[in-house]
Amino acid sequence: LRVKEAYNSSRADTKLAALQGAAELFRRAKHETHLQMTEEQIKLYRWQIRLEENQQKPYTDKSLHDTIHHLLLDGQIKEAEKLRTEFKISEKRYWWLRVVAHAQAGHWDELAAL
Amino acid sequence: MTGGKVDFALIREATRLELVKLLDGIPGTKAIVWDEKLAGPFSQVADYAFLRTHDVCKMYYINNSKLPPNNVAHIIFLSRAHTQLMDLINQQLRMEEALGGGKKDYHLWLVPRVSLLCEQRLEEHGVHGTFASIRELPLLLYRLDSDLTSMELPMCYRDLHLGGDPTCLFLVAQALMTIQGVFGLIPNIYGKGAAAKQVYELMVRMRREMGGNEPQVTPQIDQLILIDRSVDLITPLATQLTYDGLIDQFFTINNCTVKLPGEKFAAQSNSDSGTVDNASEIKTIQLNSSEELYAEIRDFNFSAVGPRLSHHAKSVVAQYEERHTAKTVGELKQFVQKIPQMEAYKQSVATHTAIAELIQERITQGIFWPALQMEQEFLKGLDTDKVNPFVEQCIAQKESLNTVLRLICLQCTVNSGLKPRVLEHYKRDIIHTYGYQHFLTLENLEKAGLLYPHQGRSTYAVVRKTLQLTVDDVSEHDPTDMAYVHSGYAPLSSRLVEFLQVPGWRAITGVLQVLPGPTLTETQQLPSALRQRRGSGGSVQSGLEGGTALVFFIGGCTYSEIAALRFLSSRVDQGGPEYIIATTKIINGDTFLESIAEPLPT
Repeated sequence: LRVKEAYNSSRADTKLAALQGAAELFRRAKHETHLQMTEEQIKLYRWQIRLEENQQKPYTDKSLHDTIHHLLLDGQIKEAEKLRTEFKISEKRYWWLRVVAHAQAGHWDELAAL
Repeated sequence: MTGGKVDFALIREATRLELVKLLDGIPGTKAIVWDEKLAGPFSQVADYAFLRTHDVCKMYYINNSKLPPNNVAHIIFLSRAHTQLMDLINQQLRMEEALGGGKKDYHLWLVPRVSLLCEQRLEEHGVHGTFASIRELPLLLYRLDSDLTSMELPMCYRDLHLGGDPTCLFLVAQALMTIQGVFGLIPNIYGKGAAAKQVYELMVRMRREMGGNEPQVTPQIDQLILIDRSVDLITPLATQLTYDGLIDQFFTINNCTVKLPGEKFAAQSNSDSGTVDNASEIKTIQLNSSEELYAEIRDFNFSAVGPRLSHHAKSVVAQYEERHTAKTVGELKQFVQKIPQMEAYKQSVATHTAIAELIQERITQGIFWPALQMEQEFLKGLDTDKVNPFVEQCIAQKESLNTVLRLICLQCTVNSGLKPRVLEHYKRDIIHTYGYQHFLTLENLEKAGLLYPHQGRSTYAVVRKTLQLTVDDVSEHDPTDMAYVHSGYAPLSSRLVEFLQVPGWRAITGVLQVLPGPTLTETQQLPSALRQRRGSGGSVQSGLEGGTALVFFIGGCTYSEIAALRFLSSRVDQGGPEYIIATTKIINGDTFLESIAEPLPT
C-alpha cells in the first residue's frame, strides 16, 4: 500500500509508473475495488495527457468530474461524451454536469437542446 | 456555570506554579521562543502580563527565520516534543550563534515531557550540549472553562486508530493522575471502549509506582467516566445545533477565541471583549463563561438564541430608560454607577447579535438545511441501506467533500456498515468527482472504523431504541431532554452517562454489549483515613446520587456533548451528579474528519 504515497509525491511521468506499481500490488493482494479504481486513474491520466497535447491546456491532476466539466465549458461535447462512455458515468451525474457546465459557459442553446 | 464544587482553575494554578518554579529557576531577563501551536493554548495558563512579572521581556516563534536581535540573558525554547520542531530549533540556534551571542544561555523546555527521540535528534545536530538545561513542563490540561478542560491533542483519534500509537493514552492517564493529585482520588471509575480500559490500566500502574506516596487530599470527585470516542462515532458526525456548536462548525473556536469576518462589527468601537484588526478585517472574540450573556446562551439550541437575544436587547433599552425615572440625586448617582456595567452588557448583546446574524447567514445558504434533514433521517434509521440520492446529488454538484464524507460515514455508522455495492458506488463517485488523491483519505476512514462494508446485523436500531437517541417532539426553547442539542438526536455518549446514573448500566447491558469495546466498572480503595473524613464531611454525598462526576472523552468531544452534559448538570436538584468535562480536544464533524484525512501535498 505504500506505493500510493509514492504517487502523491512524484510528479509528471513517474506518476504513471507509480500508479502501475500500485495497481500491480493491488492485483497481487486481490483487492478488486482498489485495483479497478487505480486502473481507471491510469486510464484517465493517459486521456488527460492526450487532451493536453491536442489542446495545449492543462488537464492532468484534475479529477474526472473536473475534466469533463472543462471539456463541456470549451464546447468539446464529443470528447466529453467519449469520456463518459469510457468511464461508465451514470446518466444522472452526467446530466448534472452538463446542465451546470452549459449554464456556466452560457451555452443557452445547448441547454435548451438537452 | 457557577457554584460548581470542582473548578478546573485549580489545575491551572498548579501548572502556573510549575511554570513559575521553572521561570524563577533562571535568574535574569529571558526571551521565550514559542512553538506556534503552543502559544494559543498557553494563553489559557499564563498571559503576557503574567510572564512579564517573571522577567520575560521578549517573545518569538520557532520558525526558520533568524531571531531578531535582542539583549536578554537567557533564551528559552518552549516547544512540543516533535522532531521537526527540534530541527527548526537547531537552525535558529545556529543562526543565533553565528551572530556571536556567546554570552547567552539557552534553555529548552519540552511540553508535556522530554522525549528521548528529541534529545537524540538534537544530539545528531550537535547542539544538545549548547543548552544550559533541558527541562520538561508537565502541562497536560488546558482549562477552557470552570467545568471544561482539554488536552489539546487534536490527533489523538488518528494516532490511536491509524498510527497505532498509544502515546496519547499514556498522556491521558497522566493527566488523570494530575487531576487526582489536585482533587483527590476518584473512588468510582466507569468506562466504555478499548481506550478507556487501557487508560484505566495505565492509571492503576502509575498508582502502584507511586507506592504509598499519594497526596492525601480529600476526594472531591466521586466518579470518573471514561468514554472512548470509538464507542460513539455518530455524534461527531452529526451537525450540532447549539450556539457554541454552530460557531465552532462555521468559524472554529480555538482556545476559547473565535475569529470572525470583521465587517459585521465595523460599527462597534474597540471594546474590552475584542479588538478589530483592520488590516485583515478579522475580529477576534473571547468566548468564555466570564461573560454572563454568553454563558447563558452558549448551550442553547440556536433557534432559541434569537428570542433570548432580543429579550436581552429589550432589557438593555429598559435599563437606559431608567434614567428618566431617576429623580433624586441619590437615584441618579446609583444610575451613573451602573453605567459601566450596562455598557459592557450592551456590548456583549451587540457582539452576540452580530455572531448570530453571521450564523444565520451560513445556515440559510448552501446545503446546510437539506444536509441536516438528510442527517435526521439517517439518525432515525430511514433508508440507510441503499445509495442515497441526496448524497449522490451532492457529489454530482461537487459540494464540499467534508460534507459528503460526513454524510456517508454517518449513514455507514448507523447502518453498521454499508453494503459492499453501495460502498463501492460512493467510493467510485467520490474519486471520479474529487480526484484520485482522496483515495488515501477513504482508506484512512476505513482504517478508523468510519467506513466499512456491512457485517452482521445492524445494531443501531437496538441502541437507538434503548437509549432513546431520537426524540420526536423536542422543545428547542425550553428543553426537557438533552436531545435538543441536535434538535431531536441525543448524543449517544451523553446518553450513556445519563443512563449510568439512572437506572444504572446494569439495566442496559444489552446495549453495552453491542457497542464496541469492553465495559469498565471499578472502584479505587481510598486510604482509610480519607474514607472516614469523606463520610463525615457533608460536601460529598455517598453513593451514586449527587456529587461530582468527571467525564473524560478519549479522542475528543463535541460542543453538543458538552451542552448535553451541562444540561444534565442543570438538573442537579433531581439528584444527578454535577458533571465536569475533560477531553483530548474539542472537535466537530469537519475537524474530526480532517484529523483522519490524508494531508494532501499542495
